[in-house]
Amino acid sequence: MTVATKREASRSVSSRRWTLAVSAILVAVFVALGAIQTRQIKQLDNSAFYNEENISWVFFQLEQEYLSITDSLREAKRYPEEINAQVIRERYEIFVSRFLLMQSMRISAFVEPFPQQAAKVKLIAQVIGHADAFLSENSQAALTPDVIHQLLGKMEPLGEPIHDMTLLITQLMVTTISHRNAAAREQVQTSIGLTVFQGLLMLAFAALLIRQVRSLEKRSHELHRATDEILLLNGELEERVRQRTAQLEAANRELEAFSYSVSHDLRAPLKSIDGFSHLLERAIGDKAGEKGTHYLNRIRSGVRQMSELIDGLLSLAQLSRDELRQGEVDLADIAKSIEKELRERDPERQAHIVIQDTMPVRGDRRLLSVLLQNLLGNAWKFTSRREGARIEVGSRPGASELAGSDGETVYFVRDNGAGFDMAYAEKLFGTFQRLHSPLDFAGTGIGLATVKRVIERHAGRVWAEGKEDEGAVFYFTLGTV
Amino acid sequence: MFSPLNRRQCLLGGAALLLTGTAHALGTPKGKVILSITGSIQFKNAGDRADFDMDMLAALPQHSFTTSNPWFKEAKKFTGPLLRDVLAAAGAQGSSLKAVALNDFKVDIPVSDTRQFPMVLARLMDDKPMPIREKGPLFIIYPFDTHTELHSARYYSRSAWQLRTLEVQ
Repeated sequence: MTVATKREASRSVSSRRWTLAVSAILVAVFVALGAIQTRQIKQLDNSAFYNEENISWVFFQLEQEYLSITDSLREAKRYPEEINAQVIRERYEIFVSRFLLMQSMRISAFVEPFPQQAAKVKLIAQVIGHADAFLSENSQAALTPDVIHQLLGKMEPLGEPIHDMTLLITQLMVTTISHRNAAAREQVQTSIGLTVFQGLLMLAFAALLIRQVRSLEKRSHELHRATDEILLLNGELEERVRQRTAQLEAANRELEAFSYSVSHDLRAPLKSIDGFSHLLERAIGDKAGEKGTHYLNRIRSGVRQMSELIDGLLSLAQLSRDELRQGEVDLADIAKSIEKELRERDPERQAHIVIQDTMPVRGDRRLLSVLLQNLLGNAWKFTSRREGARIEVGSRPGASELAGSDGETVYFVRDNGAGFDMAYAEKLFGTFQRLHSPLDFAGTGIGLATVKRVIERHAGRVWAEGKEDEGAVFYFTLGTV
Repeated sequence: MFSPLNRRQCLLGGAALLLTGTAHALGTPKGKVILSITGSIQFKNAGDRADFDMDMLAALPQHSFTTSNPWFKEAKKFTGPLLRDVLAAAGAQGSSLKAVALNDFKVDIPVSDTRQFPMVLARLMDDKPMPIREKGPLFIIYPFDTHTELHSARYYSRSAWQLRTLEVQ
């Protein structure tokens, strides 16, 4: 991680923290606003129901009805002859109904906190308790002037307490309402403050988001640039590899062309040496003598050997140059035809050759023929001095101890011929490498190099095991080219 | 919102009125007059008024429901004729009612309320007559518990109690 990306990362972490903090505060503000508004709605709800606001109305009515009944009683006292008991009793009942209403649940809950009220309420209740005997709806008592006088005496002292209560309640209502208004104003102010704060937070939130988006954009841009750079470098690298490969291929081709032309050009002088050596032999005839004949034979043997070498080199160059022609090939068929050729060439050789019935593979028939010609040719050659010579051509399925790790089939050519020292196993497949003297076994040293080239062109592997005077096994695999 | 039964009852009532004539259809109060309907009415039995005693109101089809309201701690059962039936009995023709209480408290009630809600002119509370001190003898009750839209000061104030007079306008 570079310093720049570290800084970038720490900035992104701090930005995330900020976003979280602002979100949390926003949620808190929402909750606070919700709570305040719920409280406001509750207060509005209170006012919507028949409740506190109506209490002063109840007291007002109580006083009103008190004044009515006392008026009626005074009237009755002044005009005893016109007393209407039914009207007086109705007025009285209405007054009592107001008193009972005042004492009902919702109102008393509001009134009770004022202890000075209780005494007044008790006084009114006492008077009602006394007056009921004469004034209640079902009372049969006669309303004589005496009774009226007595009732008035009880009722009149209630005027002041009832008036005081009404006043007190009205004042209380006024203060309550003003308190509530103040509270509402305060809440609205808090609400406005919170809303403003909320707005600011929203702005901060938006700013943070924008910042994050920008930073993300920047990082994505940087990433793109880095990717582009990598792609560019990759392209350059590929181009360089391609160029180097082309150069190598060109060099290889040049080398092959060179070796081809050298080999080819060597043929002409060789032919003339061969030709003239024959002419020379014929020209000097018997005069050559034993020594001369020996020299001439040596010259011809050298020419033959060189010719073989040139053929080998040309064939090797050809193998490397020609394009692979893939097809279904049975190695057993090829091996059998090679066996036939070998036996025709050396009819007197007694060798036991065992070839597996069938070995179908995919590859270039011509190259694989060259491969087996070399391997079988070697086996044939190196068993030439062996009594009971035995050559075996076969395969082992994948996953045997000799197989490659990926389970590829291993083919082998085994003989019980001269063998070789395992110490030189590495050198076997090099061009012009020979482990035996030409006096022991003829050969150019190009055969196994050719084998190796064929296997390489099939993307396979080749290796050998052997022991001097006991024989050799050549293994090879064919890759799936 | 008349139910089919109510409509049939109204038709029967109307037929009875046609047969017996207006004044007699309403009947005359024998007991204490507890309700007077004045103003724009067809059927009258006391000058310009239609007076009702308790028996006349009890003779109309009775309806009951239990509801809570701001004036009582617990839900109460209210029984009485539907206000619209009482108005029909007086042949009321108007869009507004002025309900006047015993103490001359006044409140306006749109006649449409009586059509929209099964409002009861309660004469019994928990199956007992209501004395004046318990907000009787008549109490206009909206079906608060079955119609939540009635839970407002507007309808609470229209629930006139100690009702004495209805002026049809």
